[in-house]
Amino acid sequence: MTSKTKTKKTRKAAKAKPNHKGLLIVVEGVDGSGKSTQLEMLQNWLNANGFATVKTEWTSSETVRPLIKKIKKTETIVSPETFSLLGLADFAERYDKIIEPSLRAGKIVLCDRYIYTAYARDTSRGLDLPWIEHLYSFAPKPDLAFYFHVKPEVAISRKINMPKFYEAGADLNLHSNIKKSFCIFQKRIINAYLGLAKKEGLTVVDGETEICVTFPKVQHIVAKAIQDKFKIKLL
Amino acid sequence: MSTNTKNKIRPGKLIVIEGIDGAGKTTVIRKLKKRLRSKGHKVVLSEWRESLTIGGYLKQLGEEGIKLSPHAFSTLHAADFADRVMREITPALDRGDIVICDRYFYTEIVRDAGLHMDSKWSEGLFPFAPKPDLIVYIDISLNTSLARVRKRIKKNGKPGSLNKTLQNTTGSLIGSLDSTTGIMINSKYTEDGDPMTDIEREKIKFGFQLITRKKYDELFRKEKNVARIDGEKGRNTVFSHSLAAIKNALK
Repeated sequence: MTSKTKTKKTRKAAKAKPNHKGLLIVVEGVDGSGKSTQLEMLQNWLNANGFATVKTEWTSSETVRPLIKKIKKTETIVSPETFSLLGLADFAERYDKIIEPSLRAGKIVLCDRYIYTAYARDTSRGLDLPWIEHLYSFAPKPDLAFYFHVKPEVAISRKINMPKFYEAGADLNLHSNIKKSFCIFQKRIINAYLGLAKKEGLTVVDGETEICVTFPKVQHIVAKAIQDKFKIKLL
Repeated sequence: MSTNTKNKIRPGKLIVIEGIDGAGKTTVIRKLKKRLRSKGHKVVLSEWRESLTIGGYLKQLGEEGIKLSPHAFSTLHAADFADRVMREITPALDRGDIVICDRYFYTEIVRDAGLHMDSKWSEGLFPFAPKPDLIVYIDISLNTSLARVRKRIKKNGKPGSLNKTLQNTTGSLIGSLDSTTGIMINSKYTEDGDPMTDIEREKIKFGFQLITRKKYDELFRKEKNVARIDGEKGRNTVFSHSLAAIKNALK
């Protein structure tokens, strides 16, 4: 092993252990996987137990969101690189202004989508994973990451509205039919997520099972993380 | 439009002009463009923060006094740059034109360095950028930079006023500081108001320029195809030296 790869590994290992006082919990998965509902339930439960929580969603910054929204709505074609950097800009705003300060203050930060969304989506647009990892390298790995898995067929069947341009990956010329394009793109993203879940050790939750069955499992894992971090017994 | 296009051989030539504020980039570019066109070359000018999709939005944020976080400022400028690469730079290079870039991604790297951000991170943002055939780096001392910028303020009006010149270019020391750095150093973006006097800003600007100039030096030591031009010399000398370097690169 060369010294270069050694340093890289050490850095990665150091990053795996967040050194802030707070707790960073993220949910990942495609739309319709139930992740947002479960995250909201989790927040209510934590708040009811007296924890200070902060929740932040993907593409929700006050400053960058309007620009991304405009590009999506007007179906302006931008390159995958530009699209990826715009998503990063939104994340960076929320990271610097919300996530990082909240973690420093010892709060529980709940992220509806985190870096893995970019990893999955941007690589599905043909970009190299090492570059995407580099772009997001200022953000720590979460203490807990749940990936809500649904099969592509299920994700597609849960989609009632007509897929939007970028959501369908229509910028990639996958198929002339927007619904078909959406199916191809969803499959790519779900496959990317599955790969990431394995590589990054995300906790896979079955998004096809009833929430009343899966939520207690999520609660249990969160309770354990809280006990480890704050020495408080929740369940 | 996709990745890994940077090493593709294209018929055009990419000329990048870089230098700290007051180096004389705008003046020399205007003259170069005129001269090259008169010699029958097709010349396309691509300016920093001027992309079709994002440039206007960035300017609007500036005009409204909205401050992006340090990482967001860098990445939104990187997005702006990526948009120009796809829309302006790459197509022009494919057509065989000469593309003159008023600043390139080096501008973002030196700015980030000036804000004490992680240089490794900034330097890794731009693997998609086409490699310049020539970088014209106009170097001036910090004293000259400050003197020229101060002169510009006097000419262009009151510092800090939100007129168009200030927002479009580095029209004033204050406008320049804010538009270059994106945040106020020593003051958090979450705080209201501006606690700094002009003198304090000037001092900070000086420290900022000091680091950015050092960073330019470091970056261009590593790059090939760099023509270092002494910007302290008169504008005619700067022009003729730049033109000579370009002619050489066009061979």
